[in-house]
Amino acid sequence: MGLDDVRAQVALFGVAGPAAIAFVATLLAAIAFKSARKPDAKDVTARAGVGSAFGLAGAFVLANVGMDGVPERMPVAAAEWALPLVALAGVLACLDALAFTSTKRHVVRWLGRLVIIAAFVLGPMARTRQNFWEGTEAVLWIGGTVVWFLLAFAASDKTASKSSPRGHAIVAMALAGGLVPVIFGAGVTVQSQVAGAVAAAAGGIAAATLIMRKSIPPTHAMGMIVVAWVAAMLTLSWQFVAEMAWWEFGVIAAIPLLVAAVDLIPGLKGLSAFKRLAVRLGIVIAATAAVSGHHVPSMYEQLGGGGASDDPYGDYWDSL
Amino acid sequence: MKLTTALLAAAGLTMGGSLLTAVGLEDPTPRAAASAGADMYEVDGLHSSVVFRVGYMGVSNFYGRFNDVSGTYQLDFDNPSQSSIDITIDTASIDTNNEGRDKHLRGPDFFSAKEFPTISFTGTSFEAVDSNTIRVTGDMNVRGTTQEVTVDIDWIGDRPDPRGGYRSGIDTTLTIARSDFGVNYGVDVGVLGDNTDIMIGITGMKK
Repeated sequence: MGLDDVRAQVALFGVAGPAAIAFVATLLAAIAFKSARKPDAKDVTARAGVGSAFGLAGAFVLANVGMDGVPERMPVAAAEWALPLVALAGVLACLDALAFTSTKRHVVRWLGRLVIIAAFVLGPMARTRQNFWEGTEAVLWIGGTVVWFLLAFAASDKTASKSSPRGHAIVAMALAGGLVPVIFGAGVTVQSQVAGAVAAAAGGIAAATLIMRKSIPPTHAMGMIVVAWVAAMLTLSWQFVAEMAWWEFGVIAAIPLLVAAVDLIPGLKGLSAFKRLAVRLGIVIAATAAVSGHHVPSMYEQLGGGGASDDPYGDYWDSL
Repeated sequence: MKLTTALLAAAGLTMGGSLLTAVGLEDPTPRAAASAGADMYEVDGLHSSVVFRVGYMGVSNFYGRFNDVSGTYQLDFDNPSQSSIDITIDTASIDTNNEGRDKHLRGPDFFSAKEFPTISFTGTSFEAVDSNTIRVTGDMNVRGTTQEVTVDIDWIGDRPDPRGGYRSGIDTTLTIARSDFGVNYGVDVGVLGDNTDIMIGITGMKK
């Protein structure tokens, strides 16, 4: 295959395909569960959340398989865990959205989250612990990760319930798109392309809300996938496995919490939904710019956008 | 003038030859010592090479190398079951004459060198093919995945070195499908080949 084919594959599996899957899934679910006149209308409509959950997870799977092939074995390296973990989060998020009542949904949601946390600790973290951590350090890392997960899930719920589905999708789009350069800079190039696909999928969900504005419920389930995906990115991109700096790792881990903090700050609580979205978006853009900004020029050079360069890295990437 | 130069050169070569003979550097003989292979040798990383070759876009072969190799070997041709070989390659020492490509190869897309700092081969069964070749089946570990591979290892030679030690050399070439070890990058899109030839030339110092 020539270069054009590779670029066409990136465009198809990294942008157009993910956006289309997420858009169609969100739209179809909204149509399927639109039943405002039934007594249990609220619960039924809530099930439409399965669309954005399926769309986001499906887009992630498509991007991974399209760009890296179908996995032929159980994950061994940290980078190989991203696909099964986010796919698992997708399945659990769909179950969450389809739960029959809000009480059951709450139980299903948190049980699912505990499964995701367990999968992380027993999967990529177990290997990292084996290679890099001993004794107290391992306990602190694993304990810290579990606490981060619980806080990030709670923060994700807060954001989903306080913002419109469209706003939540736009924030997710900004987060995923903003992380592309830092993941690329960490040397995990396939997953940086997948991050672009996540951004495209979130964009597809946001676009669907323009058509079915009143039939798309709060996107708690989608947030579950986003948190699992951010965790996967951190797991395979942090300094232990790739080349991500500690401060970059810390800022990315803090983003889901900072976004939710908007609703906890007294001065911001009274703002309109639109202004709160603007603040959330501002936080995401500022944080991702802080970690990704200095990677953008080199990424641009490396991908050949800067033309002829003395940088051997640039020549290499341009040659792929 | 030309005759003088030629005479001086001839004299120099003769003297040089005498000097080499004096320190024992005559042409090496395969398995010069009757039981040379039965001795344990430690890999001399400075005089050992690990070179790999992989197809690029289906139009050419691309070569790279690993600069740090260590380990031990003991190849007993008379009693093959008494043999052993353990070779370890420092994954981060990959060198393809391009800093950016080396960084990419060390990263999670390829070898994930931080996570899997070594590539290793440990012989598990040995069979003498002829007087200078031994067939070794062993466990090769790349990127955390172990696969059984079989290679024919040639005994190149052995002899005393100028510093009072004793050296030997072995050589082999093997082909692996890198996807068997989870190193898939570029295979599906046809940019890089799957089958990878690995050429290994080892110098050992008798322990």
